[in-house]
Amino acid sequence: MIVAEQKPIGEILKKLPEVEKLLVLGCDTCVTVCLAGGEKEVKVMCSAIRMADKKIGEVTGFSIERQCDREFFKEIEAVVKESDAILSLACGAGVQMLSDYFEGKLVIPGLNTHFIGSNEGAGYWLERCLGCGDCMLDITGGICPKTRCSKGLMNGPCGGSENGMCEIDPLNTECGWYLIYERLKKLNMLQNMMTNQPPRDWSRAHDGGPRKLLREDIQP
Amino acid sequence: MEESLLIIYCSEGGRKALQKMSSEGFRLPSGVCTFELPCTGRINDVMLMETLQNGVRGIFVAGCREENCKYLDGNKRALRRIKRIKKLLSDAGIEGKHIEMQTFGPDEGKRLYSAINDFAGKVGVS
Amino acid sequence: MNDKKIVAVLCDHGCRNGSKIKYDELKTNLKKSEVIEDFLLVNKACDSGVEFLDAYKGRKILFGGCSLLEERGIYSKIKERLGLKNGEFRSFDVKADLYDLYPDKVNLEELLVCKILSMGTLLYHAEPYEEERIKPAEGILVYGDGITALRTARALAEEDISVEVLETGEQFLSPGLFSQHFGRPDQRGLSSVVSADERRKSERNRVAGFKNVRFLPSDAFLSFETVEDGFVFTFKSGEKRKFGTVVIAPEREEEQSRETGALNLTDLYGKIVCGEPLKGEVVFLLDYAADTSPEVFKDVLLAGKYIKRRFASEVRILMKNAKVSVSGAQELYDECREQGIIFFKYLEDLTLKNNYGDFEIEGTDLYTGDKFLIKEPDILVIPGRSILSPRSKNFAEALELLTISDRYPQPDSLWRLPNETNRPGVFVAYPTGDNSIASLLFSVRARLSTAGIAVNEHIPVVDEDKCVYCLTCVRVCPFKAMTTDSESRVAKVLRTVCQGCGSCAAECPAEAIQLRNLTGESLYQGIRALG
Ligand code: SF4
Ligand code: SF4
Ligand code: SF4
Ligand code: SF4
Repeated sequence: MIVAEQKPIGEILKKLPEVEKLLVLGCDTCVTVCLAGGEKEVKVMCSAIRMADKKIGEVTGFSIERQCDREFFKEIEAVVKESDAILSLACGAGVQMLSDYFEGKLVIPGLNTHFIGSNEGAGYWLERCLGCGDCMLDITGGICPKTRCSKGLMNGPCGGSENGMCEIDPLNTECGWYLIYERLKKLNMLQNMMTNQPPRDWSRAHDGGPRKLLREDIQP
Repeated sequence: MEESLLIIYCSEGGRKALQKMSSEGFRLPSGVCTFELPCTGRINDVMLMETLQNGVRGIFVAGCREENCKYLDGNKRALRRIKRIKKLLSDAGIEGKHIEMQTFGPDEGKRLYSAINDFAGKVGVS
Repeated sequence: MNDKKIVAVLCDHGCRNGSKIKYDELKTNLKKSEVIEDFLLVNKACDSGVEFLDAYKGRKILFGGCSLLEERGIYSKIKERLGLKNGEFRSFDVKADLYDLYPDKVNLEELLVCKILSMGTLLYHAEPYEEERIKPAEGILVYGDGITALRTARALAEEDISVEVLETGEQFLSPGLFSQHFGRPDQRGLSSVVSADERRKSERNRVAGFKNVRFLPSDAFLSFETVEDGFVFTFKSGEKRKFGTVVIAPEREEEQSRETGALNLTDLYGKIVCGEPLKGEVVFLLDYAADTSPEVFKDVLLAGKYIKRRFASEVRILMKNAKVSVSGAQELYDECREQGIIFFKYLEDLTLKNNYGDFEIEGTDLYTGDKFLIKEPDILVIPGRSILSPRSKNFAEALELLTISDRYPQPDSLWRLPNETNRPGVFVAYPTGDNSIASLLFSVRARLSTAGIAVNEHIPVVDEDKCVYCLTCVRVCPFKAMTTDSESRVAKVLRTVCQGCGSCAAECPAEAIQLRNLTGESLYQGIRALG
């Protein structure tokens, strides 16, 4: 799931233009689940903007299923038409999609999109995937070295691993390669530690502009 | 509601402290309204923000002592929520002082009284 | 939404303001609101009977009076006479909640209008409902195979209650749920239990003599699932059993002593049970890891007294905030002092040094102002927050009991609810004497004999269309009352477990949860009505 966090409201207020009508738009999927941009946050955000000393005439709140799917924008076309600017509480993908769809409107991002991660418990999210485009989790026992190793080493651990913790932050950050070692031990696959992994294929990661995923079997 | 102050209290410790307060002869400043909830854990951001937005001068929340919540941690959650809202408010340039939560034992009528008065003074309701 | 309007009634005997209330003005103001249909003033509602309300059948009633009305059952009489369901009647204590709070000179009418409108709005939005009770399943499972578990099983069996004992066995529950969560058990801690083994064996033989006790082998159990009336355990044999009541009976807590060399109360109790000599200097350090609860303090006094008498040891009790507020504790405290147990009430400056198990405690006594230094006591007891053994704590976690960071079941409220944990139906029996077994029995019996567990008035209702299944409510509910439901794909509340606190409703990011009779909307409006 995409994990994001609300920008400090001070920053948002600075970014907001002084318009007559502002629409605050939430997204009911990833960012609702990570408690950053769902219906509740939209309401709170609206109240905060209304109360802040800012020359904005009217603030409306709305929330749609996903901002990364064009189809869902249909239902808000009328509201958007009415408003002069949109504050989007979706991830970066949603914000971009929104400003593509409603080209003439100014869209302001309300969140900082952080990572693809998991929800580890109440209020705790952990990054688990970089979206590198070349998954190797089979070799490392289901723990991603590119993400969980602070240095993204392909052949770890480095010399900075101590008691299972990483030298960059021995109190809070686990050594990814220690985790991999322990996991492989459980799986009886320690020999994987001995094989040298080739350098990763960056061409499949963030390279040459945005990546596209095309599936002919599904395309029209 | 313009010049008023809202006290939200829980029906456990908050209520008892309020009753203790009155039985000790302390009285609320005028312009203070009270509202009871089963547990301060029910308070949420939307409710507080909309109330403030409607023009209440301040919201004071009185819950049970930290380790003493009938619902285990409703008060602690409320405390954290209120901290979050205070931060939001002050980031937004509205002073966070308009909202406050404190926890009270059932016998702390006097402390509740002075806490309410301090708060009323801070937000300018007397 | 129902459209029954509210008839507000106020008792005018109003122990303070009496007939000074300006009825007409009040009535006009109230009737401006769309929720109030009529407003009545009665004199001395406690004596005047309830017939005067007959004309208002079919409305919701909001009644403001003093606490006498509740005490004399007037409110239930009204409900009965008018056939009002739950959610159609509300009362407030006009004296305590209003008159007493404000100085004499305030404008009482204004405050009354606010109060009545606010309460009326809540009542207006409330849905009538029938009270619902869910009977817990019958079976009782005792988890553990130490003396506490066996004694608990025996005590229940002697009461003609059928029990099943899931023995933990020497080794930790093998593959499946537990090891997946908690890894392999540490064998080291087990050795210290062995000396109690003989005792345990004889107790087990005795318990096995009861017809209504069944022992389940330690590796029999595969997984479990929580349901509204209990826990469904699946056994390896494929058998599924439902237990409405689970007693976790921990034996001893090994971790703390292994790590620090200091004992906790449970360890100490184990030593006493096993008849180990406790000679020399025995020091109890209270309020150190956490404030010691009055119950635990009483246990400390009992243990101290026993050790002093039995072994003539030097017993010192260091404390800061511990109170003698449990019944009998004061006498015990006096007895202890007479017997020569030394108490220190220490100040903030207390330091505890640990040189590989040799302790040094230094501090200042509050009363005398003297410094004291205790060097290498023979036995140091620190009653910590945690009482359960690692195994039981694992079990507790598997049952989704609320646990603190180190995964012990909710230590803070254990002394308030001596035996029942945050999961109704799950009890913890301690090895701290008969006391706890007696009160455990009491609660278990009460649980079995009730007409069922009442569903809380403010049970959450999940809006299936709005819920995004984010699990926030599942994670924040202090009682673990919210669960997942793979069929409907929305959060589901276990109605017997929920206590109606509202934490889930407050945190739900999709605003999909509303508490029954306390919906967000009614709260906002109720608050707004105060203005
Ligand atoms: S817009 Fe972003 S947050 Fe919303 S559903 Fe799409 S990916 Fe998730
Ligand atoms: S290897 Fe790449 S795709 Fe796989 S988890 Fe790691 S970052 Fe994600
Ligand atoms: S918190 Fe709300 S949206 Fe999330 S699972 Fe619970 S009910 Fe559904
Ligand atoms: S109301 Fe409280 S106890 Fe009930 S499900 Fe919600 S959080 Fe849990």
